[in-house]
Amino acid sequence: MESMYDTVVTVTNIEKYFATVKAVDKLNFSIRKGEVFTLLGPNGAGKTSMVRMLLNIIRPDRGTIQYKIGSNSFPSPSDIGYLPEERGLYQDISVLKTLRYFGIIRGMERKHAEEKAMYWIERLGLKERIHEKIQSLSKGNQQKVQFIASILHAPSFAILDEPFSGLDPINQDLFTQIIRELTGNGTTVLLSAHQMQLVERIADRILLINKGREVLSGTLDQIRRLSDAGTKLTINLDGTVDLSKLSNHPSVQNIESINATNYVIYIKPDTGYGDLLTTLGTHFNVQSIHSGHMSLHDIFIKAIGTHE
Amino acid sequence: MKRLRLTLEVARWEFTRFYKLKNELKAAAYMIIIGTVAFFISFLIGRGADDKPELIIINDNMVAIDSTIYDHFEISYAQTGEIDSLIAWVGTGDADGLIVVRSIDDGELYIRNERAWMLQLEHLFTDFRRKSIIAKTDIPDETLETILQSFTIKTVFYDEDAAGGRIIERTFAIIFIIAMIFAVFIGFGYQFTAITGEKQQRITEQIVSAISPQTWIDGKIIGITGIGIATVLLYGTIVFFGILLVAQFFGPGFLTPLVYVNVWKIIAFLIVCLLGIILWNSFFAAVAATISDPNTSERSAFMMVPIIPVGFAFGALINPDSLIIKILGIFPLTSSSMLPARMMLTEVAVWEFLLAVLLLLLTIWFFRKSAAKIFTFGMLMYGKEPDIKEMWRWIRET
Repeated sequence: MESMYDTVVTVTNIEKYFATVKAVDKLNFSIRKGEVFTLLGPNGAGKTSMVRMLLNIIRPDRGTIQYKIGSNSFPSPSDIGYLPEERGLYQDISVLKTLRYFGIIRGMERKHAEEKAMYWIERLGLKERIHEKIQSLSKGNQQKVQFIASILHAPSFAILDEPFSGLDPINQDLFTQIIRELTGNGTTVLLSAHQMQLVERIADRILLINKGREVLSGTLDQIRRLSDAGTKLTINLDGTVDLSKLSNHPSVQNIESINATNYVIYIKPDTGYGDLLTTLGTHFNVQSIHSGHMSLHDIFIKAIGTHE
Repeated sequence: MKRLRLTLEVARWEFTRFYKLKNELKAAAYMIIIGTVAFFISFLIGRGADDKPELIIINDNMVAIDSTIYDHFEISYAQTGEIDSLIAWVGTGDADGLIVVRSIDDGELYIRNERAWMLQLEHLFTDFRRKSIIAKTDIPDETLETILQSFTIKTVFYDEDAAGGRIIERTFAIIFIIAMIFAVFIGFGYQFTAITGEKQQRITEQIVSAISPQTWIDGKIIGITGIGIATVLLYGTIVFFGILLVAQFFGPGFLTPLVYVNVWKIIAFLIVCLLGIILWNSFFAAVAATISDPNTSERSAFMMVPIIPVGFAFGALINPDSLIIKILGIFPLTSSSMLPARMMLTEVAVWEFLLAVLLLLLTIWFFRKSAAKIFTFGMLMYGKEPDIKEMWRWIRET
């Protein structure tokens, strides 16, 4: 299947140890040109170690990473953009000077870097702060500067580790929009994020890892199928509730109690829930009912729980 | 070529990040103002010191006191019967002191507090005692003068033409060593801030994903060496204009010794000192690469290391041609201060100079390589500093 697509990087049997801890354990994946590939996993799953190996900051103990960008075995700095999880900027330097410097070390000419920096500064609403020192900016605005630094030089491959952290919903939407624009212009994006709703909206493919190992991978639909993620019903009930009438129903996989009146019923995959609705109507005083797919959040929790 | 360009860009970034000419000029102006104020205060204190202390002498035994005492003190004489009232007078500060001369050998000084002139008074009375004893031996004044004369040595240099330049070259060598140490210490502060600061601010990961650690370290060494040199040049220029100003008062003859200067020797001093500054900056870069927090790390004590060879340089004054001094003049960690010291005191063979320069270059290369290696492995070690064994293993790894 992979051969149908132009791949940017192929990771084969990668392993990485830190002392006696196996941070990455035989990971295999490839990232296709122009897609948003998302690495998901709980804290300490090995995402950052994998990203650092992709950037050649640390080296794998076993396995190979093969790039297909440029003519060398490893892409040039101008081909790669990186927003690290560990945020850091020169606090005593102005916004424009910071971005110009990051552009230059990524291979841009001074003037071009400044022009591009000006464009992105304006685009992300930092025009008024252009000559201010980084330390005077809010966490969200510093995040914007760091984000610009990673895409300023229009890289072929952008690695964005937690790009949405510290941002309000409006700016999260703006970042999502920009990431989509980047992929539209041919940039490949490797995303690592915890904001599941945003990932659901933006990711073309997902790799879920835990303890350095692959748990699930594929498109969101593929992951839903692989994780046996069926439909869920969110219900609001009035009066005394006896859940045994529901939990024994053949269509019900699991029931989650949110509070005394609100419940989430997970339906077994490939089963209907018409009969369940009849049961609900017969035995309970249903105030409201919503049906929908299991969210990525639910899949994440379920898959990691199973893997543990 | 691309790597050189990036190295110079990093150097430029580090230089402009820390070196603000406007601030340096302001600092220099403040120093000049403070220096001028201090000079005038010292001048006023000096004038105050010219006021002679008032001293009362009780000399009932008629010990011979000659007139030289009037050059240093306002003198009045009194009798033993007045001693109690005179002591009270000293106590109120109306007189600076009361000396009761018991004999040619001893006496008592009554005083409120210790004063600098007490030593002078002791010297004067020692002199009166000596003269009094000699007077009793009936030695003629001319003979006494001859006895007290010191032995005179006139120095004649083998190369008399070079002798005129020796003083000025010695001055230049001392200036270069002081300037080098000044530049090195400026570099130390900035190097530690630049490297550990980036580590603390979590910038390193982003930087080294774009440029190699070697390019990054080299850029820092060049940029921060540049700051040290720029600061020395700024203050050097100020001192130069100060000298020109002094020359206005003392006439052009003040600068005449400059014609004796051996230009090649000055260039040699300059090369060695410049390499010395780069060497110590490379050393500091390697040390800083191992440090997480300079405020708590015991490795900050390494800043004192460059002082040690300067101390050795004073050893060259005793015997500049001894074997150990010759070796230290070539050894790369000491040559940048020892070689100029030797060059100003004795003849240094060309091979010694060339070998010292070669070893300096090799050591700079080793330090910068080590700094980059240690940094590469240690940059993601937050909160823990690598030990010597780990670092040595990293340096050896390709």
